[in-house]
Amino acid sequence: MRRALAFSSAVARRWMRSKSALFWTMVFPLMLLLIFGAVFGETRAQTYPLLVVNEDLYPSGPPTKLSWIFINTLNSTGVIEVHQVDPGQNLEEAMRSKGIYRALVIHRGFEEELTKVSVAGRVDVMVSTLEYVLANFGNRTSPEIRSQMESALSALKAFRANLSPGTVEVTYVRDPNDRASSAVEGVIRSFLAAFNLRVLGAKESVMLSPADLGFRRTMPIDYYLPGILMAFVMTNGVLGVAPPLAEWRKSRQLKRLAITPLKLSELLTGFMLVQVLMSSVLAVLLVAVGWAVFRPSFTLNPYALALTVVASLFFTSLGLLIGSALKELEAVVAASNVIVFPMMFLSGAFWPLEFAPPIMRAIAGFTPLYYFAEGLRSVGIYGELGPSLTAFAIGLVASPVLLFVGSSLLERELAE
Amino acid sequence: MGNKGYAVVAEDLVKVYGNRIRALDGVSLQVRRGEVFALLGPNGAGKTTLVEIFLTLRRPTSGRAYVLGEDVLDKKGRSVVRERVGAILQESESFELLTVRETLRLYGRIYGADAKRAEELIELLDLRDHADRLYGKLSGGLRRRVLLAAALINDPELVFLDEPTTGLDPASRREVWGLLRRMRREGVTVFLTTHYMEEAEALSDRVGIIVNGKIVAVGSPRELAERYGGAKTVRVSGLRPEVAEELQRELGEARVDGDELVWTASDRSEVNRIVQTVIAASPEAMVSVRNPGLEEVFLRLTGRRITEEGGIA
Repeated sequence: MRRALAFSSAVARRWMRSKSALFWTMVFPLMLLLIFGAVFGETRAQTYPLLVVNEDLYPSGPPTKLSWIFINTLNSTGVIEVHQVDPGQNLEEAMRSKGIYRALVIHRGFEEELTKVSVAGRVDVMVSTLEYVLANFGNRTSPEIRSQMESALSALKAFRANLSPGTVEVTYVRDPNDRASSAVEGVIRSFLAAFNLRVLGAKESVMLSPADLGFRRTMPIDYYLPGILMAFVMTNGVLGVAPPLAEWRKSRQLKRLAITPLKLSELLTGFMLVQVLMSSVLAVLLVAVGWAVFRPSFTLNPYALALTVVASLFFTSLGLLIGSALKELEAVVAASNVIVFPMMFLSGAFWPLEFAPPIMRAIAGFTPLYYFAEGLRSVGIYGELGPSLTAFAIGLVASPVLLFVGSSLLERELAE
Repeated sequence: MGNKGYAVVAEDLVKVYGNRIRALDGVSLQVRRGEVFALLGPNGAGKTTLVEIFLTLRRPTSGRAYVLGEDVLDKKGRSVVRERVGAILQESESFELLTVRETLRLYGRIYGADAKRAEELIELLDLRDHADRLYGKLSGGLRRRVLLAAALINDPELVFLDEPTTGLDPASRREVWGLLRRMRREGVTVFLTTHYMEEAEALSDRVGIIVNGKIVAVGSPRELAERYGGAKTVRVSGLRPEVAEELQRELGEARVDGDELVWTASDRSEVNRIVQTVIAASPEAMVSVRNPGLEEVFLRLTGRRITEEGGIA
């Protein structure tokens, strides 16, 4: 153990003196956490920008009163962020220049038609109400009142026949590739339904009253923190072992060490100790900074720390295997990158897979990082060990296998 | 157990790479304890393969190898090599981001030596002014000094130095030579490989010449020169023309090389006769005797020369 500690101290010093290593292993994950936390951790409700072209203007130029009310009411929903476009401007050009590829067009005659439709609608309500009352309560009313109601109904029907039967149309222009367009369309439809009721002078019968959850209060940072931690435990493990092994092979330091009493097992233990220590330091650092800035629910409880250590052992063993199986430094670096970076982006460590296409979700299931990140979320946020068992199993079963194969290859190389 | 008396023994060592390249072709040699033995040969002759077999980094295809009396193919032999032998491997380096002192302490801790040993070597190899500098920031000569210090950290009985001065400038090379002479005075057995004739001649008690995986000659530089080096030469300058003519009538015709007359002599008595005759005829003449060196030996044995880069010409 003395020799393993001596070697690990050399590896740690090497790491601490390399400014780039220090940046990529500690500073960069912190930066990423702060950026992700700041950008995606915003708890304000999502808003959607929408271009609105109002063609319904008075001859003197200003928008008609009803169209103005319509637009302002739409803008005040808190979900739609209205960006008005001059009706004389080409809509496609406006979309390109503003970078907003959805628009609502209010056509000329909106106020006039809406007024007519509003009167017709109100008359329809009255007709419908009188018909309902006569049908359900007519036999319980006096003949005199019943007769008056029937006369009124006839008069209303006659009046209604002379009114416009149509509806007012607004046009929603959307980009089929815009994934948010259907959400915006839904919001507009809901808004129109409420607007129509208001036009008829009716009140909402059923109201929606939002209420926040009183338990498991999680924030976006709770998702990103474990993902970022595991992603960098992976990069530190693989890239912290494979390229140094290749460099030491190239400079013949591995052979030099092989003719000392330092055993291969001690050399590997030294590597593992440094990686586990680094991962633990990174975990503490990310959680401390994350807590200070964002106050997440994620905690580094014993299970979370144990899973971080297991992940570190797994990825260090993977790095050892890559560094042992390939001889050239360039090949080792390329192979490490090919394994690490796709896994980082496909595993869902950085963004929720719920929004990913099914193929990506299927691929994520084949990446060990997915299980480690999900496992860490479950133990660190909810304290639930169950969902993390797959990650523990992968780490505890695969690490010894990778370590055995890697060290066998290395041993064969060093003693030919 | 006859091998116990030797620091290094090779018995008919053969090493074949991939069924095709015969790097060693029946190498046998013995290196005595306390001597400096130089294995001289061009690049690709098999020097590094032989050293790496002694250091347990390669297994021979056939034959036996012993280091400090132990078979290197045995577990005990491997343990002896790792505990009691020091080495500088060809083109090897150390940790770029460790200081000289940290490097020596690391090797010291690996061997179980105390920190005092590292400080002793820093003094011994004149590294005091560089002890806290990073290895990666050192010049080539200083790096070799650090590697040599690391090779000596376990106070080894035997040190293998595989091309320790290759790639160094002449000043750094001579610096390393000074250190090797010091090791020799302290009784450490040194097994040195080199393609520099001058280095083998200047440092070693005995030289083994290896070509194409075979040892073609072994002996002290003087023995080799006498056995294979060919004739000695006597060079004379500063003669008046009439004296030069008279001497050539008496000693036989001389080769003219610039302003020098050059006579060849097959043995020492003939050299003496030529020198005495010249001095008697012209006491003011400048006379020099040149013995054949390893360069001539190598030329006579192989018909070729080793270039500065280690190739064959």
